[in-house]
Amino acid sequence: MNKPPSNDKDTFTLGKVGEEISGSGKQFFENVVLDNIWESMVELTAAVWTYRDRSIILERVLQDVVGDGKDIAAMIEAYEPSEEDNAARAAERAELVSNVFRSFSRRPGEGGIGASDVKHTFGVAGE
Amino acid sequence: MSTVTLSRGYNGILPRTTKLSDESYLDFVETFRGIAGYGTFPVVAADGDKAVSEELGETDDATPIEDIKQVINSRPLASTWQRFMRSHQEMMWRRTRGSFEPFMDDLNKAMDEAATKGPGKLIIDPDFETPKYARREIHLQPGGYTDDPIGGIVFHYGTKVFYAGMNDQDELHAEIVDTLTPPEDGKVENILDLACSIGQATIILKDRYPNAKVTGLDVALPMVRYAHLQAVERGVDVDFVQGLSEDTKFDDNSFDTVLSYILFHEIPVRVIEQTVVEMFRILRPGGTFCIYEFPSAGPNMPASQRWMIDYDSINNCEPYSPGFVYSDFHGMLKKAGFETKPGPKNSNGFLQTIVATKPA
Repeated sequence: MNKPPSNDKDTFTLGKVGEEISGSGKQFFENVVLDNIWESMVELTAAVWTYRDRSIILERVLQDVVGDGKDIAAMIEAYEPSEEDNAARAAERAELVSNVFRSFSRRPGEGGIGASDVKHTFGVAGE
Repeated sequence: MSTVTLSRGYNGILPRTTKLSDESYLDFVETFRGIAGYGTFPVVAADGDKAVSEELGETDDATPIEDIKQVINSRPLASTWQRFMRSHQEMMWRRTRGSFEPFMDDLNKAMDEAATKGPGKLIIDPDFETPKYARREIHLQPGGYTDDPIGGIVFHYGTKVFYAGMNDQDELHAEIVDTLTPPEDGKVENILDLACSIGQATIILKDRYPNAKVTGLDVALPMVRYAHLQAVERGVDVDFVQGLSEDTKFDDNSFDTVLSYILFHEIPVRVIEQTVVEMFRILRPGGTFCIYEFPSAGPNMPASQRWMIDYDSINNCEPYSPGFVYSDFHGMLKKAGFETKPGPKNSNGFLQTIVATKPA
């Protein structure tokens, strides 16, 4: 790595890697809830496409593997998930929802609270 | 053949993201950028310009930007656009870096090994001090160009998204190199790619000018390390040097042609002035300085475009862009001694192109 700079006219403080995209970020609406809704919508749409893209490729790969004798789409419709399947699906669902609605906890808004203000979990986390 | 084994390999010269889900997500960001980002800007601009005209009357380059912002920022459409632009840019970098970060050790090891190999050289001064002005997270890239060890590959894929798929195999860099203006006497034996970043144009320059010595210079260590790795893997004989555009340490009159692609709006005005003087020094008489750059402001720049430049500087970490746009860049070139003329047309109509010649 290079030596840290010792002389420069600029006065800003160097931050950590990823500082610009960390923290509560920028707000463009007077009511930050609007920022949060828009950002969540963009993330949600990204997630929708990500999953759809995989299913497109997955079905294509599967059809190549099984050949022309079987109907992959019909087999997918009829599939019955195991307990492990369902646990994995639940974990991914939770991650999706957290990602899509992350902005609401980043920017709680005027008069809002942050995670450190939460005193009771009302049984959600086993209280 | 790459010395770095990424989980999903390469698409030609472009590394693939290490998971399909990363590629899908970033493909979405790329499409979103084109349609909802830049695609909607004409509507945002029209709405903003109309509001400015109604509230401020006719404006020109003397109209304070804060007055323009007060009007346009009150428009819900403008707020929405800014939200879209900022959010998708953050999404892009977060996911791109996240995709390659698991391979950081392999990438660093490959770059360390390449640093000892040719055919070209990687020239790094261990006592080099990266100036503070260069250590900004330009375009919101984590660590900027200078502070993330894997910044090179992150930049490579991040700019693939930025260019909306039009530069996956460095096609835009190839166009720039193909339209370079060599000196009138045709002698091109030494070429400098100034602020070469990951060496996309540098490597193509050697392909187009195989008998020339080609050097890439950049202030950012992660960029030149990755650039050198690319050159070693592709067997291209170019040198990469970490250094300052304003104080290159090259000899007087040592280059026939210098290429500069979108450097000047990324550096402070005082560094622009110093760089221009430095380029005049290191070019030989008759040599050409080929510049592809952001546009300079004119008296008739629409209020909406001034507003967008301001948005970019504050919210896309382009801190030096307004300084360049509103400077007399052509005047600086002439003051340094260059004779200037418009350069070749470029498929990116947003850029200005200049050919600055050192008198013979």
